[in-house]
Amino acid sequence: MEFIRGRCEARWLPSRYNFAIFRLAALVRLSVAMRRPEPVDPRRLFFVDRHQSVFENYAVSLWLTATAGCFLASWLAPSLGLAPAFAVGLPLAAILLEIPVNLSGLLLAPVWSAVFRTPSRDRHRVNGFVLLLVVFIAAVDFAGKPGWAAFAGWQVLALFALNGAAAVAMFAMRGHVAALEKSFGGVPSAS
Amino acid sequence: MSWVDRFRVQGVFWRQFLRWAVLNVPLWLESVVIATWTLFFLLWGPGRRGVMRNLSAILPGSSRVANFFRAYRVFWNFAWTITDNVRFKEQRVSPDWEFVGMENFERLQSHAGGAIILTAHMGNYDLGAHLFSEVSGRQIVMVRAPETDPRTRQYEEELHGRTVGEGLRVDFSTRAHDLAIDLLHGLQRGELTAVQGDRVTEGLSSMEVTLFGCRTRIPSGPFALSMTARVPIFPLFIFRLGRRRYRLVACPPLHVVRTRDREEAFARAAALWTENLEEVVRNAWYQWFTFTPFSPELD
Repeated sequence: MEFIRGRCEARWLPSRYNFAIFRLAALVRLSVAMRRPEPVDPRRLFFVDRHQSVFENYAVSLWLTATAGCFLASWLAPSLGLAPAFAVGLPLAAILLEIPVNLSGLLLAPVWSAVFRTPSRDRHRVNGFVLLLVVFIAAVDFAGKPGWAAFAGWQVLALFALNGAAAVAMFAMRGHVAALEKSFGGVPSAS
Repeated sequence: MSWVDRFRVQGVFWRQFLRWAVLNVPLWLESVVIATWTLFFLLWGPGRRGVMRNLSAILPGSSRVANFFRAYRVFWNFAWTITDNVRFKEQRVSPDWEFVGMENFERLQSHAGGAIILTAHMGNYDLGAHLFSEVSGRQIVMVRAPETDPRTRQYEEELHGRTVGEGLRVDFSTRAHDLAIDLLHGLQRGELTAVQGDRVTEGLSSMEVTLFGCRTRIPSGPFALSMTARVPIFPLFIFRLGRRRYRLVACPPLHVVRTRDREEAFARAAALWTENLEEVVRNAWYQWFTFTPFSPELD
């Protein structure tokens, strides 16, 4: 485990974020923060893990649920009406999003781990890829159809494209990012 | 035990399911998954009612409807803490920490001899113990009550054996007399012992105190050990501030001074501990994971 003690700007380290959009935004935020660093607070310990960000975690969760809810609502609206379709679709989306994850976790991830000899603790990456693939395919389908749900499809595709562009930018700046992260030090714990 | 028992709330199935979820659910989906499953577990009537009754004492005058929603918040925090716990054990992922009462924490770290860490079923006491043993490099013995379900107990013991570091040892409070001797020797050797002082395990010695105006019992073991081994008690609380953010609050140490009147010495120390506990629980009721009424007066 690696942790950084006292330096509050550490919460903006790109390595604490998962998706490229958020890593790029964090890099910008960190650059601004480092111009006027906060006083060192020895009472704070920051851990470096790519899923550490609260904002990113909630933003992606809610965005996925809202998007899946829109897709479901557009499918239910002809029979229920728009408002009831949303009332049913949004909570149903929160449950149905778990289906591809469970199926992948039971069927695909164990095979992947066995074939590529990856540790079991990385299965969530495989399942995450499968879920995003399902969302992407649904978005392509809805984007091509007439009606309000096309917007839900297009915003997914736009965000995927934006994330791709951010990934290219982060790759181009990888040397600068690595040097910046290294300047924070980081103290390994006993484990 | 029948096969149905593994699906009871304390059954082993849910521990295995949690581990499976931690390993398989994409982390950027966990908020929604936890919110959904927290709703599901709110169906557990005895637990929900226990929390609501405790809340009626902690927050006098609170309505049943409001306490129902507060119970969801307690369950929600509990779900996050047990998830963080399993994630730490399986993936060595830790939250961010912030310390309050740093001078007391440093006093505990630098204290040459043994000491007792007295905590409550709040926040993530498991993770706090791991953090302390990692940061301080000192051996900690964590005393806890065993799981009621034997299959769950076996599962947890195997998980501890596989995932816990060398600096942390877990011992179970059902060994009463033998445990007391072992802990005493450990304290005399300079070890730290972490005990939860807000709930009594059946068969262990306890003492009556008043908490939120209701009679309840707390373990007397920590105070007896402190007096016998002549070591201080450091009250320590761990609060969950949000996703992967915890606060560790270290309070000034208590000393159980050996006098002729043993009961009076215990009562004084217990009163100080109860005062700390009441203040902490009143401000952070949503983190007190007590799913049964804490007093027979609330039953």
